[in-house]
Amino acid sequence: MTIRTFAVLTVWLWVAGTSVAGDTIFVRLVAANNAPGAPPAALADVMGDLTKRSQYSNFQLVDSKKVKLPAAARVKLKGGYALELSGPKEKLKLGVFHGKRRIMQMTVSLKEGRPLILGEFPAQDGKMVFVLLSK
Amino acid sequence: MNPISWPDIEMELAARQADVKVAEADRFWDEFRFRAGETHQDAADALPILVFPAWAKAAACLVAIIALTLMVTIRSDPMVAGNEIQSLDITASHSSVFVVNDDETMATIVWVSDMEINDAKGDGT
Repeated sequence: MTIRTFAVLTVWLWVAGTSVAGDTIFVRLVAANNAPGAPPAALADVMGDLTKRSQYSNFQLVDSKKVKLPAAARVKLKGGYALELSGPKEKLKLGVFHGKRRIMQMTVSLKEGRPLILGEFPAQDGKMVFVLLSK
Repeated sequence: MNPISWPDIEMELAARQADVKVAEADRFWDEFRFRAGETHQDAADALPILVFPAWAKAAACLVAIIALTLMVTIRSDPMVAGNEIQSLDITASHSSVFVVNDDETMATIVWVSDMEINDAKGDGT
């Protein structure tokens, strides 16, 4: 491998790495209730926080979506909920909607790999929790 | 066919060689030095050819790999900083809200108690 080849490869890797890292937000909608059930593997990274804060013992993944950054999307989720995301992850505007009604509005600087947990929103049986993660 | 004997060959060669004018050694070297003096043959005037030794290539590769690794590691290190909530507005009725950063899981939690969405103020339009 010549120096020139290696330099080209390094630049390519750097550009690829910077463009891929942390440019997607993973949204999970979690149902919290006291029904019997095993914790799903899809929530393993936030189970500690959920059980510590919530009065409920059972958490199930209801819905999940991906949003590319910088965001400009309205993500419809189950249970009549929707998230509106706009802007870069350093200044992400996030709106939580139920039907057409906005029930929460926030601006947040999301850091890669750190979950943002929003709870607890009303549901027919128990509560709903949103988990956002930048990857 | 009679083969030519070696003495005959020698005699023949000697006879032919007599006609060839051989330059004297001193004259030859004088001419050589004169011509050599007319042409620059200094190594310093030659174009430099950049040759990287193998160890330099290996060192450059190592430095690039370390730099790339550090860049990616620092960028994706979850310990660098946490989520930061810059503004929060809850339009639905609720009894309390708390925001906390969990030091163990590095998660940011916004927990709203007794939220009711039927009387939310915002219409989202």
